[in-house]
Amino acid sequence: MNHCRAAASAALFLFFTSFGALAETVTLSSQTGGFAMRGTLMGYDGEFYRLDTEHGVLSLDAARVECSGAGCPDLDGFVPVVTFSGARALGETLLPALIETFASRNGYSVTRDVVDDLTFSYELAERSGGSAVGRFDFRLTSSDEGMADLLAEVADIALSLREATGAEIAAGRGSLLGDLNGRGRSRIIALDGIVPLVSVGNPLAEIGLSQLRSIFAGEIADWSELTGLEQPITLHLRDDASGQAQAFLTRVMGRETALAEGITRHDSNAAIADAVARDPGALGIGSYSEMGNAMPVALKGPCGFASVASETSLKTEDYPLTAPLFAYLPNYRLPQIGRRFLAYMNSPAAQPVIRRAGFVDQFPRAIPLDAQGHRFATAIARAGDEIGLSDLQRLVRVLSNMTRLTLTFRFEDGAAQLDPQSRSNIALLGEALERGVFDDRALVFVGFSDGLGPAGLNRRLSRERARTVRDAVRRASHGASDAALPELEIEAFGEAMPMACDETEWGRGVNRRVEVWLR
Amino acid sequence: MQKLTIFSPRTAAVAAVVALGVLAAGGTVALRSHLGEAASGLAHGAARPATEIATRGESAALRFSVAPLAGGMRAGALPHPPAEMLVPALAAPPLRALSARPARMEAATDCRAHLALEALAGARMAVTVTAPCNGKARIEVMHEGITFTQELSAAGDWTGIVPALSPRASVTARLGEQALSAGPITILDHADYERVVLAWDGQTGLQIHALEFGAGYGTAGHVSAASSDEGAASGSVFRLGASHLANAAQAEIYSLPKDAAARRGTVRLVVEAEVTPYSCGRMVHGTAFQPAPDGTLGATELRLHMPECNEVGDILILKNLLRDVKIAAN
Repeated sequence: MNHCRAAASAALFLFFTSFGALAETVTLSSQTGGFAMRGTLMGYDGEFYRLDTEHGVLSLDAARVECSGAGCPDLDGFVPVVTFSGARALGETLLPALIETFASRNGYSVTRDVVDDLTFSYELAERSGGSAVGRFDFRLTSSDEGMADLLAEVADIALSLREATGAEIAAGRGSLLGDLNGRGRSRIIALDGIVPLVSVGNPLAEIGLSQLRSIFAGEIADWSELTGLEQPITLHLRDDASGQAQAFLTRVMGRETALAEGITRHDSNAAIADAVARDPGALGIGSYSEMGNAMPVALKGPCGFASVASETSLKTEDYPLTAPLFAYLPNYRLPQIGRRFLAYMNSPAAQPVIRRAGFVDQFPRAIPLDAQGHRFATAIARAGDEIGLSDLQRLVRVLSNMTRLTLTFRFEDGAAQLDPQSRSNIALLGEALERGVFDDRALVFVGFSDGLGPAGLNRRLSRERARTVRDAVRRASHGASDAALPELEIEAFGEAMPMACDETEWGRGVNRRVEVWLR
Repeated sequence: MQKLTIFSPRTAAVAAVVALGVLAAGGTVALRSHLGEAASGLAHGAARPATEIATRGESAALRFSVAPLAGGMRAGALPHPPAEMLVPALAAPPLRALSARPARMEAATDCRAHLALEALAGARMAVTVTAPCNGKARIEVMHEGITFTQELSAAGDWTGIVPALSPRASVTARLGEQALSAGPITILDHADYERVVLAWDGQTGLQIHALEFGAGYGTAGHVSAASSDEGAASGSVFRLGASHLANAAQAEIYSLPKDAAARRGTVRLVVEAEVTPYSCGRMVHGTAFQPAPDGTLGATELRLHMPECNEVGDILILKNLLRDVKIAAN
């Protein structure tokens, strides 16, 4: 068979004809006369012109001005376009599934226009041969490329498996794009995790992060140290431009550790899973959403805790290598269809679609006390010098008549700043409170700490963190009056219920947390 | 003097009277010998044992549906069907009882066209069109939004095996100006199968290839319409529509039993589009039907920009057009 023309051929930018690329000089004049503005047309979204003038970029209401010049859009047949660029993991299955269900819910027919697997576009139209209501263009490459396209204004939305880098934020501030860290400029679409993968035939069930680092640094090259089987380890990793590989390098390898030679690099998470599934000697760094026919390996700490990637452990961030999927947005208003789609992606209706696509959604779920037996068992097993029986009894007394929610808040390494997933959780919980989801229940923010330092200090620290989170959630529920909010209490237990080993930095990061319990 | 014939349990009583009269004329035991022709219109999978699983309500529709054939004159001329494809005895007693009645219609050829459904194991249906006066006619068969074009035999019939895409399955057909319909019939094991459909018109060169549970190209577990029935495959690709007819509507359906011998994991679905002299440099149109979150099949129209004509013979490989099928652990 002749399979020569795989996915990407001469990457035809057929669809990349948004206005950013076709900017032309036009004149916008008021219909009553007396006002005219000349400049480069940056965009038209069906409602507003965006014009780059000598006074800066201006938005002008299309209903009040007339456009003259060769670059003026055809207002009658106008179809608003939103252009996505970036990570394949987001664009290959998740966003198409969301667009298809968004269209179906709104009664639109949907057409997928395909050049190849990475260059395609969705057209939404009123049903029964009606007129087009919008188009979503996709160019799938990598997180790096997506952010570059956003900065260059050839994409409206960047899809990224990592946060914006310092260099990208600086570039944004120096351009029309503005502050990428600004409010409302990024959002988490779904959650994912970085998962070590082996084939079904490989007996490895757990691995330490330090072992993983040693293997990918080339210090361990044979399975005999891990499973007793004499066989070389073959390594698989995503390409350098992918946010997934970058997250692995910063969070597991550290800045100074160089990668071993001979690692097979892949251009998609699916390709890693497929390569690993076929080779009993393989170890790959894959993703929870795309494990294919490979097997995930649990991450274990030196004290014996092991953490498996699951829907719950990714939602709670009890799993150390969570990887939220980001969309970075422009500082101009998207066309109405784009705004509606963004609102849909974060709505409760979209969460089952996200789960079905293999990702973890952000909808809070209850974890009943019965399912937390191992956590209490650990608390008892690890009690001793500093945590006594009375502490444990208070823990059980306070928590036993409540239910834990998957919403958990964690802090960036050594800082009071919440990590991105937790910041997203603040907004989600604030909205839920506004909608009255928890009416007549009480929410208790329960702080925990790592085990370094004296227990008394840790209890105070964990109470402070709980208070910080509670106050942030209260601020995020701005629509609701205090009287309308349920009780928002705080509680703290310091180092009493560890979830990971304090001997490692990542373990301490997992232990420093604020959980949310429902009473 | 053709007219619309609707077979459904509700109209069964009325229709049965008509049908039984015809049966009486030439009733024979070789009721479904035309099933032997099914193989020509079918992908592999057709020859698997078929078990009658229609419920009581549907058996009535099943019974009278065979009337035109039995009343026709050509039953004996057709190839004999494999024994397992014969309809089990559900319909038999009333036929024998009626065959004793005097025959009064032997002279007239009944030109009425009929469409009949029969539930088969594997969430499939035998779809039968009989139109004794329309030999070699072109028909369009439609089921759950999917259309495919077939050609009737010289004697005016066609039977094919079609995966049922709904637990209450109906089929319609268009024969010239006539609209035929049958069903709904109950498909008891519909929920036991995952199905993904790709449909198109004309010479598009489209094919579904499934790589089951870690299989690679050309290894055991690589399934397409061209696969043989033997081997390690769990699922199968049904091909519907007669590709030799001009601009025929066609479809491929990948069907995977969810228990698949208790296997779990991922089946990767790849769409291949061969660059042919018909498709090169042009836009190929199709429709994908994939499971939506609520379990129904959602339709997405497809437009593929095919490579230029100097690439004829090459194959455009699309790994993301159809979502992979994931079978979760129980």
